Amino acid sequence: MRLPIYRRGLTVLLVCLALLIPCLAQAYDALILLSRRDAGYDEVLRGFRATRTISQRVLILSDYSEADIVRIVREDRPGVVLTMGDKALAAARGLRQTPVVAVMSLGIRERRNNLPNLSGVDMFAPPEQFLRLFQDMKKRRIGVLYDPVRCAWYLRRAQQLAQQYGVRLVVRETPEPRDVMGQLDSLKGEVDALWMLPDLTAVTRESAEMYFQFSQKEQVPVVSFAGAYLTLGAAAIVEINRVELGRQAAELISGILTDPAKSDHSFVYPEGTTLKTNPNVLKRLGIDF
Amino acid sequence: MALPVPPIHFRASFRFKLFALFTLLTAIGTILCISLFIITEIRMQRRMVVDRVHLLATHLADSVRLPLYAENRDILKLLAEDSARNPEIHAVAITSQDGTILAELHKPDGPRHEDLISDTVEVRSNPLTTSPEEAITGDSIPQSGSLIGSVHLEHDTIKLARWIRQMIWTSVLLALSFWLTVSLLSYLALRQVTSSFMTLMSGIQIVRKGDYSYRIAVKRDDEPGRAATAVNELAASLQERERENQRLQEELVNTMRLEVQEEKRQIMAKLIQTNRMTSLGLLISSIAHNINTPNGAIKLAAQHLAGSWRDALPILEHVTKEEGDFTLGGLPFGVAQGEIRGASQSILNNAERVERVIQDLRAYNLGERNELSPGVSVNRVVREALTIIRAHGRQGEITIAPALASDLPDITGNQYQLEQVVVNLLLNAIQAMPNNQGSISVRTEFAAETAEVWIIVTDHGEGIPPEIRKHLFEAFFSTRIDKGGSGLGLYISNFIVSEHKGRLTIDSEPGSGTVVAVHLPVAVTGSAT
Repeated sequence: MRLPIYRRGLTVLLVCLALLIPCLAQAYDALILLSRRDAGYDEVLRGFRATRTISQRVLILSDYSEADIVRIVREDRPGVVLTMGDKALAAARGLRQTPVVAVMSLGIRERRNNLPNLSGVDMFAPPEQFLRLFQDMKKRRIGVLYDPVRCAWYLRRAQQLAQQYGVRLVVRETPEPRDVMGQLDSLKGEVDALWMLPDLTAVTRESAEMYFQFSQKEQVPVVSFAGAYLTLGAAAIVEINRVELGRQAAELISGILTDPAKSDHSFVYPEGTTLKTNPNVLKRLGIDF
Repeated sequence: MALPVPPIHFRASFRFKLFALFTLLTAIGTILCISLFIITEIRMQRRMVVDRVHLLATHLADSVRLPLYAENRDILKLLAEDSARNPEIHAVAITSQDGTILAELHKPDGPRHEDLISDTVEVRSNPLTTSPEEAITGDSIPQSGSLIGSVHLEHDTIKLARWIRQMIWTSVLLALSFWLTVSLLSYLALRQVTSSFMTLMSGIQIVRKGDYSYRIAVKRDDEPGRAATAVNELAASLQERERENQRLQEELVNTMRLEVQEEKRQIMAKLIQTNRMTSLGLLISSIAHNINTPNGAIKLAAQHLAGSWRDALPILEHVTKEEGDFTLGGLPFGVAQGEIRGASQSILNNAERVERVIQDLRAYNLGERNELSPGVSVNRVVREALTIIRAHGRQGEITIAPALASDLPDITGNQYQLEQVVVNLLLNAIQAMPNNQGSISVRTEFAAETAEVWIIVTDHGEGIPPEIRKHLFEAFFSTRIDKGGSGLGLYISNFIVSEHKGRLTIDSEPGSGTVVAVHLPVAVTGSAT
């Protein structure tokens, strides 16, 4: 049976509309949540936008007194939610269906239990880079303070690799920030260098100074993870490239958007890192690097 | 004459006042400055101590930041003890954020609470350090650091108080020394500056005492020097003036001495004249007594003679009728009859006149009262006066021409006194005539408009100078005292005329003669004394 032309046209129109409805509901691919307006986040966003064109909506949480992310996601139905910063990640804790990719967050792994669909890029540079650095600095005994709850996974990986690089990690657990001083005291004469981890318990605004005081008193270099500490007395840092971090997040999101079923919701190390040193500190400590 | 100069007390001296003022102002200024200095120093030192305490507390807070964060009491105690080694630190307390005192140290036997300066400094984390979250974004949020705890220090002020006492004593001694030095220097400077002024003042004092010959030494050409020059010129002027005054005074004394001598001479002349008048009065009294007696006999005889003649006349007329005319006293009886009657009457009249004259002389001499009587004929007064003048025989070759008004009314008065007035006026006119020659007119008039009778005596004599004219009615004033003038003629005449309520006027020009007029009212009320 052959349908009349107008009825065939009507049928085609209805099919097209049916096909367009999902497209109208999903207006963009990624909802990007920023904890606040920050130059570092802008760099990540720039990297994110540079690699692939992903439709996006940027939401800066500090601009709102209270933002209901779950409602927004339910209404907007983005393919993925990208969070930048711990506050943004915390705001996305109610999302159960939508994949969440976190960057620029130090507590990604603690959130894993609450967000099974969470993946992201760690703010821990691969331990190999630090171990190689200690090796190059000819430091054998490396003191590390860490919170077992936050960084046990990283220390395990580092311990596994340490021997390959000829260094020995002298680790001290600091379940409380106030333990830092005492644990640092316990490292006196025991270490040749300090490895400062991006551990929110082992390193706080108040205790960060203790590392560098220890460094001065014990004449051992501190290797840290951010440029801010380089000016405070760190001998060297392995800093994550935020633009590269954005690109890496874009790749991660592209994979999720391409095949959400194949998303393994895993965490990856940041790929782009930069080694920076403080020549004055190195010179003062007599490190020929 | 020099004024009495009060003694100058040193307190009233210009130099002392200047010195006192200067030292007082210096003292006030010094006290103000030193007070301000002490107050400022005390405030500054106290602020320094407060700042020092704050600095120590800040230093301690910086030292304890990490052990306080770690709540390491052992290290905190060590740090507190280290701070307390400062002898001025009395107490140290380190407190955690929740108020728990982690380390505390108090020295025993400390000062009172009000003598302590305490300060509490918050211990905050290093604002330069960043948290890992901020570090990874690379855009750290500026913060002042989180509060970790606090540090409390108590600092005693014993050393500050000791320093303040020493500073006050030193400042007071310095101020006193400064004031004394400035006062001494100011005294020396004032002494130097005011020396010329003091010289000027001493010179002025000497000049003020009357020594106009003194000259102030002019040392400088400053204001006191110029003033000294002016005072010297003034003293010279005063000296010259004094000499002139002295000369004038001497001349005045000499003049006064001469005037006194002249006056004394005139007074003596008047006294002599008065004495003479007194003697004359006594003489008149004596004469009156001696004249009255024979005059009374003459009068009585005249009365008898007249009575006898009256009695004898009918007889003699009868004889004449019977025997014809006969000669009596060399005159025919018809002629002799009248002559004898007239002679007897004349004897009687003149005797009575003598009696009245004597009576008037006595009355004038004794100051007795004369009564005014109506019906006095002024023409008669003039005629009687002329009779007396002629009888006096002093008129010489002077012609006295009477011009008596015919319609003259009688007046109320004393005829004899008025006669005396006219006699006096005529005598004065006669005496005024040069070389005892010339003519004098005496006339009477009636002024109906004023109801007055005038007696006008006019001479063409020497006239009266103005300087004499104003003394004419004064008693004992006479230009002819040495020629026997009593100086009473016009005085008495004016007195008599005024007793008659009349006026005596004199109009005279030197060299042109004199007109003397007696104005007598027709009706006179009251009586003269």
